[in-house]
Amino acid sequence: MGALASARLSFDGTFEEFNELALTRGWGDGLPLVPPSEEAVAAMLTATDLPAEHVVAIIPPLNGQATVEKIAVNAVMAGCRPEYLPVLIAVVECFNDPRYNLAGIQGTTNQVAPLTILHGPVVERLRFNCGYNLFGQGHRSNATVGRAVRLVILNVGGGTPGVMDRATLGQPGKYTFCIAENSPESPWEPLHVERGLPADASAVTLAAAAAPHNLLDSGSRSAEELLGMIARTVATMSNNIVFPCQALFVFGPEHAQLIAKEGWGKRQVKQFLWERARVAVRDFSPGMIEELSKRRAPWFHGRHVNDVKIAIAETPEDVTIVVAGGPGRHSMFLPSWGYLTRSITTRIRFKGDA
Amino acid sequence: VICTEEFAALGREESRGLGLGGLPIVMVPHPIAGLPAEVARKMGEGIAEEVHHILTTPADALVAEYAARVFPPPKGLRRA
Repeated sequence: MGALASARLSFDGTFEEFNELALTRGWGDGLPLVPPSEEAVAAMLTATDLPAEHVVAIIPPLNGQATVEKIAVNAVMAGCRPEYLPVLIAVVECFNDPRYNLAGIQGTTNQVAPLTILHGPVVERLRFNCGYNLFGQGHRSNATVGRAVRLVILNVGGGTPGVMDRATLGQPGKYTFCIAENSPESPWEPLHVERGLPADASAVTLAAAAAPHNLLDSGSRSAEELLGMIARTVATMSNNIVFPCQALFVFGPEHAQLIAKEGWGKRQVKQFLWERARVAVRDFSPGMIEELSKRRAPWFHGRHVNDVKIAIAETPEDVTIVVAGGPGRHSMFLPSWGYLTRSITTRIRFKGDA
Repeated sequence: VICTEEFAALGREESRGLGLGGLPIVMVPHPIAGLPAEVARKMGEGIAEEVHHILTTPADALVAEYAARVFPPPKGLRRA
């Protein structure tokens, strides 16, 4: 325990008094924090082989060093079990990838938030919820890992609301935002396999996502009917379509199975949604058309403005598909954040892994 | 760099995080989105002198000048 580098705070008070202090110091997300005692942090660190001082990522905007120790401190405060620490370390590793653009995500007025998606054996091993009430309450793993991700970028990166985090409105996913892929119920290869990792690898995808928008369709009888409904639903003007971005679809298993029954693979679904989920530029206001003509200029080339239709994602590959959730005819659409964020997938390394 | 009053302090902290604590930041009133062109032009005229100063002053002197400048806290801020 003596090897820990963090400043020590001697505090003699109750749980409530600790949390009043935390609020005053700006350490938390507003919910009560678990006090990060030396014992609790040391217990958290037993779940990794990495040294406590190892720097996993530099977290903007204040460029704080997210050492394994700092991640563990925030994991304790969020209520994580020690076995969740390797997952959290993998998420923080993703922040290092410049394609993710955490600096932009931290400071933007947009509501976008880091969304953690688990794949592979880790889902079962640590009992992440991939079924009923996927984005909702009820599972300690989802709830506390998502919360710890927020605490790391808040406490290490300095993403204080109104100071460095300038989200105009924010969204509930900024408290916690963590789901898992439901591979047993999916007709398609999981996202981490699509991105080159072996199926038996535990992996995490870190996306930047706006609040999920429900896609209810209990009547369509074919892939084309259902995807046509979805394409027309998501092709709306004031999601982040103003910018070239990715678009994340979380297909409920029943929707995915209906589509796959006809032999449609993920590539075909992406192509269909990219071609059909388009918004006619003439429906925007004149001022927004002027903005769009600059921000999504390639879509305007050689066309009269009345004929321009822009897609919800820049390319078919920017349509990302995950299958998750429980029974029922629902899916979710999560717009992303413009310009320069791309979701990142990486392997989770547990203690003892090569 | 030009920031509105609401975002100048954010710009300062981000530039400091990147090791550019003396980055010259010129403030304009907030907001600027959706301004008519003539209002935006007037705003530009209001900062022309400072921009000229920045473009014609040696970098070292600018760093000293702007590192010491205090930017107003965001008006929308509510403490927890």
